[in-house]
Amino acid sequence: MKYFKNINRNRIDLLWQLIKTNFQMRYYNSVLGILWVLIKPYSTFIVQYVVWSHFAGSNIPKYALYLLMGVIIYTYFNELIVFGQLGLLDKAHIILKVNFPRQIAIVSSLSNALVNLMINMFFVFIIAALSGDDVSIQGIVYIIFLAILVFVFALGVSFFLSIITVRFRDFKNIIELGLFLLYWATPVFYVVDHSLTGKVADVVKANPLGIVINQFRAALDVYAQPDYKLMIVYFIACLLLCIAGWFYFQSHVKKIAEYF
Amino acid sequence: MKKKELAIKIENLSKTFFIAEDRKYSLKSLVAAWFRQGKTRRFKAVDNISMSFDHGDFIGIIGRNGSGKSTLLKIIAGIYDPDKGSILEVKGSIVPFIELGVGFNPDLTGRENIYLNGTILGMTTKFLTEKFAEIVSFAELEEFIDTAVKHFSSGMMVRLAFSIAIQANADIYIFDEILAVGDEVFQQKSRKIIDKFIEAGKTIIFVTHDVNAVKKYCTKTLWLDHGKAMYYGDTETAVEMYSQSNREAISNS
Repeated sequence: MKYFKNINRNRIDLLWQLIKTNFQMRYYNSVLGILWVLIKPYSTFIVQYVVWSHFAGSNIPKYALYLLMGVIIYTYFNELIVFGQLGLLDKAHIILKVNFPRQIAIVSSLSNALVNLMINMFFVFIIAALSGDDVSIQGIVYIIFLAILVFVFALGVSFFLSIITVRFRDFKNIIELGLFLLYWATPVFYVVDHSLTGKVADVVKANPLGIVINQFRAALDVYAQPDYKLMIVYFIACLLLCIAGWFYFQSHVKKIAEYF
Repeated sequence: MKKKELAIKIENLSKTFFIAEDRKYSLKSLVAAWFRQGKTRRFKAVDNISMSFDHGDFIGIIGRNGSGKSTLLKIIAGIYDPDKGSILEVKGSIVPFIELGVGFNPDLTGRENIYLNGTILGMTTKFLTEKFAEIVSFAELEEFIDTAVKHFSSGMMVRLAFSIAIQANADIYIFDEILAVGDEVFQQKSRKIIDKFIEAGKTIIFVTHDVNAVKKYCTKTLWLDHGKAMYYGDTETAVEMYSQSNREAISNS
């Protein structure tokens, strides 16, 4: 019994060590260090805010928060998928030498995106508070729930993608292209008016990522209303995807060891 | 003497690699390969090996480069899947030291690398904290433990890696060419540790092409050549046959 307890303890410790090392190394030797986590999304936000508040679309209340939430959640999603996809390849040097549960490699990669989100979100709360918008406890809890939902989705996707990418390196470029297209199909900076019709509007309205981003906004009482029921349905769907991914991963991960 | 218990059983174990003429890492080459089939070359790295080890055995595996030693080890360690029809039974936990210092990060300090490498090898943070002083003093790195590992000499690096690795508690240890680590003094210390492992009845699989090291330690030895088991049994015979074949190879070249 103690043996199994130690194994579980080791898995948590290993996960922690991998997350820590990855985070340390990403900004190692850079002068601004951890500030880079903030610089990317916030400079995107500032540029877009300057542009859009001058030209178009920004006539909804609290557009700044609308845009900021869009940029940060899209960045989170983008990082989750990119890190998760390379989760196995990045750890090839360890995977080919030691037999540890490979899922830890994937979860540790995704966790780095989660860490970045937490840092970014902290500043969102500060900005919201400074501009006089009270963030409710309920809103924060809802944001945490939504962040977990997106994480579970990305974990499920990564279980498939990381395996496929070891086998076919093209998938790195395919996913990059896909994420680029998804960006434009997601209401990050623009606003989809409910009265809009037509094929493009239908696609954007049906885009689940857009719907989830709007729920993040709703948590801050920006633009949309919370739809708890729908998000619970989403969560269950993501959980099922994740379970399916787990089994796919488990049955394929050893077979691809020779393709690293 | 304790009754011998089976540690590892291998039956008809094979591992075939499919080597594409152009590596099928991209969709383009995969599609291309569909049209001209049979372009992939099969390579049997391990060819139909059957053998068993008991707990407490010190097994040597010798053979020339490319004879399938490392592939066999990686299959035993659970890194590669063997071919269909192969039987592999492992009774007990394994720590594979296929390479020392797995996951060592040159930019991290010795201290940080102890925790990183130790957890990769299956230890807990708590355990490593308990053993920390012992690891550092065995590696003789007290002064440098908070220095980035990239400033270490290669000798210091392997000493640290070895000192972490020997803390791993398992039933079966796999050593790939790592018993000859460090200078004379360190090697003597390492020998004592290995002797302790033997006393404790651990099972050790030791891979090398150094026949002297095999003679020194191993109770039984497997000689591999081109993926096939040429001989498995007492060390003297295995080493003699292996050396004989090497002499022939040299005189024929």
